[in-house]
Formats: sequence, C-alpha cells, structure tokens
Amino acid sequence: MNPASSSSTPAPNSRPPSSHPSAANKTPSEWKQQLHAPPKDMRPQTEDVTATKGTEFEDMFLRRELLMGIYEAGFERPSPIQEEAIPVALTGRDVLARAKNGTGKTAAFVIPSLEKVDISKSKIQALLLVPTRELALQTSQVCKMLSKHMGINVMVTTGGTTLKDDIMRLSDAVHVLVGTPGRILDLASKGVADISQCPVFVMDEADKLLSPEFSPVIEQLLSFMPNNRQVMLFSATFPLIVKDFKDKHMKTPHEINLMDELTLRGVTQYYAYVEERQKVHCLNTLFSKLQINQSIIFCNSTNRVELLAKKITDLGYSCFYSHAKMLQSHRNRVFHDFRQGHCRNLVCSDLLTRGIDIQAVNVVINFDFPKNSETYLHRIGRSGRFGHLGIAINLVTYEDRFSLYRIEQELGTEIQPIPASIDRSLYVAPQGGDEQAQQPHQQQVANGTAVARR
Amino acid sequence: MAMSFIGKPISLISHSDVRYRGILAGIDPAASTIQLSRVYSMGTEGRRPAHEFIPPVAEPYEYIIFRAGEVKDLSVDDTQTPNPRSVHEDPAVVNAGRVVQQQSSNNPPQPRGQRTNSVLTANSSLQNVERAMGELRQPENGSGGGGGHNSNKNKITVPTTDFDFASSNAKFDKTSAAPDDVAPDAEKEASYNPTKSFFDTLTPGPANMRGRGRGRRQEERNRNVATFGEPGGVGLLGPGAYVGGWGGYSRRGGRGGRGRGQSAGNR
Repeated sequence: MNPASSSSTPAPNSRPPSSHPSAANKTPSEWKQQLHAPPKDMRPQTEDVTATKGTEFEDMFLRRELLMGIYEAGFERPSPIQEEAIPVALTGRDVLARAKNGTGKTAAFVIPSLEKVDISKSKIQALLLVPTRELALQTSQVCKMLSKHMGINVMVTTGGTTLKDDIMRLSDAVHVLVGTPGRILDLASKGVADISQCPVFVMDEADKLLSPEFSPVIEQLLSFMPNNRQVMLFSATFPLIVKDFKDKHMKTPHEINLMDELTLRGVTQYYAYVEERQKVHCLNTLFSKLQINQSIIFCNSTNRVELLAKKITDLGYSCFYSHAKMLQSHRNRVFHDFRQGHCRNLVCSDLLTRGIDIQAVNVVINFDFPKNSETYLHRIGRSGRFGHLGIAINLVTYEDRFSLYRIEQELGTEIQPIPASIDRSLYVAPQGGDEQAQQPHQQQVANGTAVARR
Repeated sequence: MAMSFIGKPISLISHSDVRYRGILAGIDPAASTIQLSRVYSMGTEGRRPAHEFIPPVAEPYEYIIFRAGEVKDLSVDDTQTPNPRSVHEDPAVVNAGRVVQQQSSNNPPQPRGQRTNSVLTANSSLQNVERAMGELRQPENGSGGGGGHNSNKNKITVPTTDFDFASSNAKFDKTSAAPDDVAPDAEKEASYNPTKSFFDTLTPGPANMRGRGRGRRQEERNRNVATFGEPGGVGLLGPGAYVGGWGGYSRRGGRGGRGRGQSAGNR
C-alpha cells in the first residue's frame, strides 16, 4: 500500500516534489529514465494538437507520481487544451472548455482532478460524469493509467451492472468516481456514494449531459454536492442550453475556446450518392478499395446495426457490432476487443458517437447519414484522433440532401464527392499500418456479439 | 410500378412538416407531381416547435397537386378503414372530435405563406417523382402470420462489379437542396462564430427517441427492406446478441409463445 505523503495537507503548489517511495531521492533525470513509455507514435499530426506554447508537463507543478503516470502513458507534452486547462483547473476555478474531438480533453480534466486528490482522506474527491457507459469505462481507464503510481482508488460505475457490486466497492475508499448520471444519482440518493464533500465536479461531453434527457438528473446530482465545488465542463460542441447551466451553477468560469472552426483538420470528408438499395453494394466496394486500418460504421437505428453487421459478414468481412439494446457485458466485450484490434470493422448506433477514442480508426463511414450537424461532427471525430489523419465517407440518398446541405452550412465545412480513388496520404500513415485493402474471407458466423472474428 | 398504388390511402409529409392524408389519384412523371384527392391537412402535428405550429384543417380539399421535390415523406396508410382516431392521430389529444375541427375550420382552406411551395405544380425532374415513389412501399399488412413473406422478392444482391461512384454522384446535384429563396451570397448567420460567442447554434441531437410510435416504426421497416431486403427484428445473429427490442413479434409470429398468439395477427 502506498503511504500518504504526510499527515498534513499542503496546498498543491507547495507540496514537496516527491513523496513516492520509489521516486524519492532521485534526481529528475533518473526517475524519468526508469519509466517505460510505449513506443512513440510516429504518424503525422495536425496543428489541432501541435499548436502549443511549448509548456511541459513538468512546468505544471504536478506531483512526481502523477508525472510518472503521464509519461508512462506515452504523453510527451501537453496538447493545446491540456496546456490551457490544467493550470486553471489546478487553481480551483470553474472551467468551461471547448476543444475539438480527440485533442486531449480527457487528460485535461483527469490530470488536475488526480492532482487535487488527498489520498489520506477516504472520501470521493472528484466526480467525473460522462454520457455513455463505454465512455465511462474509457475515462476510468485513463484515470487508472495516469494515477498508476499515486495510490489513488478510481471507481467506475454505470447502469447495466449490478448495484450490489457498486455498494460493496464503495464500502472501501474511493477517491475518484467516474460514471454515467443515472447510476451515480442512484448511489448518491441511497447514501451509498457520499459526494457531500466532493470538491471537483467534471462533465465531459457536457452538452450531451445537459440535454433534456439528462439535465434533470444532473440538477438532482448537484444537490448532493457541496456548494463550493469546482465545476468543469468539456466538449467540442456547446449549444446555448449550456449557457443556462453556466449562469445557474458556475461561478465566473474561465472560458477556454480552442476552436476556430468546428471540424478537424485531419479528417477529409466525402459523400457517395446512393439509392437505399445500393448502400450495401457501395459499402462492399469501399471495403475492397480503402486501406482501412480500423473503421467505425454508423447506422441510424439498432435494427439497422444488426442488419448491416449480418450483411457484412455475409460478404465475407469481419465486423463487431454494438448498440444500446445489447447486454452491457456484450457491449463491453465488443468495445474492449475492438479497441485491442481484434477486428477491423465496428458497426454501431450513436451509442459510440461521442468521446470514444480508438487511435487506430482511420475511416468512419456514415452508412446512414445523420439528421443533424452535432451528431455528424461527433461521429466523424472518431477518426483523426489526436491530430492524426482520417477520412469520413457518407452514403447519401436523395432524402438526405437537405440534411447534407444543412450540415455543411452549419459546420462551415465541405463534404466533397468521393473521387475515383482516394489519395492514401490523406488517411494512411506513411509507415506501419496495413498496406493492403481488406480481403473478404470465408464466412464464419459465430453466435453472439462477435461475428466472424479474425 | 408506383401507379399500382393509385386509389390507395396515402400519408404525405411536406418539407414544411405538414402532413396530408388522401387518396392517391395520380402521378405525373412529366411534371414531377403527385396528386391526391379528398385530402385532409393534418397540420404540423408534433413536427415543428410550438410557435411554428400549423393546426389541422377540418374540411378536406377536393384535390391537391404536390410538387414531388417538396415531399419529405410518403407512405401508404396502413389503417385501411379510417376511424375517428385517424382524423387526428396525436395520442396527446384527448378529444379529437368536432370541437377542435370547428375551431380550425376558421382557417381558410388554402395553404398559406411558405406552405404554398408544397402544393404548387412545378417543373422539377422526373427523377424526383421516381425517388419519392420509391419510398412508397406497401406495408406488409396482415403478414404477421409468420415468415410468409420471407421470400426472395426483396433480396438485395451485391453485384460483383465495383460500385460506380462517379456516375452515381453525377446523378446528384448537391446544390439542389439549397433553398431557392436564399441568394447564394446572402450568407446567413453562422452556427458557430467564436469571435462572437462561446456557444453555437448547431441543430441538436435527437432529444428523445421514445414516443415516436408506430408510423416511425413502419417507416423504418420499409427502409430496412429497401436497404437489406428484410425488415429486421430480434436476434438476427443468434441468441444473446440482442436483448429486449421492439416489434419483434410482428415478424416472427407467435414466437414468444406465452399466450400472446393473437398478437401475430397484428390487426
């Protein structure tokens, strides 16, 4: 077990440089050399993530144990949003931060949240709220990875799991609680999760959490929190409804807006005009022509997700699928295995539209064109993660023409007709990755969520 | 082929979100128009925010000619025998009787303002009519007896040749969707302007998918048949893959087998 730094609790900035036993008594270079960072990602990146002022993580007055976790996770220096948000968040001020999809928002709130935790107190000290279960899992994994050397207990809780396990888990110390609103409200109102002294409240994909379906839950949840909590909101989209929340619940928040435009520079967008009955044929051709490292294919309903997954396996390609009507354990397995690269293609509904970070995804296909620009923006943001390159291909029917027009107008972006051949340099990394388009293979359909696994 | 629907009851939604119900009287490919007779305007129902609400009109129009390009959605009414409820299907309306209709009959029985663009004849292309009619697919009434229509007639075959993106895209003019009344250089207020506001005015995501009801379900099934050759349902990929779900019984007959056999008829 990790001993707490000291019996007193110094202010964050006056904390001694290190309190971790293994990190103590080492010069700065020594502790850093002993870390095991993953292999460096050599893919080119856009200025969406490279346009920084040159701050280093070591300039941020973070605990050495936290720095160790940061570097071991492969982070080299802060992305623009991290550079802006972390110092302000550490001061305890409310934050309203807007940055593009996949530019490092999660770490921008996880790092200050972890830094502020006092391990000697066995209370929930940071509540990180996200709109979907998969995103909760992903965010808690980031927390665990970054806090690896800190001895902080991170707990994730979402709907679709048994409440009993959560209650058991909360009888032990939990410092950081990550989850979806409904379950956390459930735990808080039962008195199982004590957030009455929780000083940090973060909403990731804040606009989604403040949409009509969630906002009553958020309001109730806030009533269980102390009045002097720090509130931080992060997203790539901030519709006006968020302003109401800001005026009501935030104290002169520091606004960070790193978005000159809405769409990612690294993602090139195309449309292919099709008739409804040609969609499967069109997709088949895309599969055979594109250099897909990993792809996410969006449909507009759960039924269509299943129907398409079946068609894709019939055509001899492998795919996973996920949607809201599946068992949570199956959703989790699909998410985990896809992230591990067990399968090249994932068919899903808008369940996985927001926040999901799978770096290997270089192609997003809207098999069904979305009806609104917010959904569109978040969907295509699943490729081009962290400034890398990717493409988004939209199958557009005659019915979709108005949506296409409106989305282009609202996002101030251009969706081009798909060319006969797509320049590989727009979405395929120069080295590494697969050089071949995927080949259909003998069909093998397994019962269960994972079909035709490769 | 769409001509075989003549005489059938049709529900049509214009791009102004007004729903019209009537009998399909004719399709004019040359003029790219669709003609309905005995047409009731159902108003915007729930499709527009309150301040844009257009109420239903009690008296039917003898006929309306619709410009096909302005028709957003078209379907064959599955309720074969109109009952009082069909006059106003909104479940929120407790009393859809005469009182409401008397009030709304004060409105002139002529579509006004922006709506006129939905009901004027126009010279858009033949393609428009074909596309609109492509959506007009007979719902599979009374076929819930189980598997009876599971034939190959809708089978989607994937050609071995590559999809021809260039010639397909050539059929589509992206700018055709731009509203006619807006001059191209009259740039409307951007949805996001960071120099003016932190906040944006993007159209938000779907608020809540619940409560959209049977019409939407049928629409999706029709679309699924068009795309995949089958309407979709429960557990296509084996047990355990899918939990819950809606409407499964109507395709798979009395699959549940828990004394709900009559549901298979789905009348």
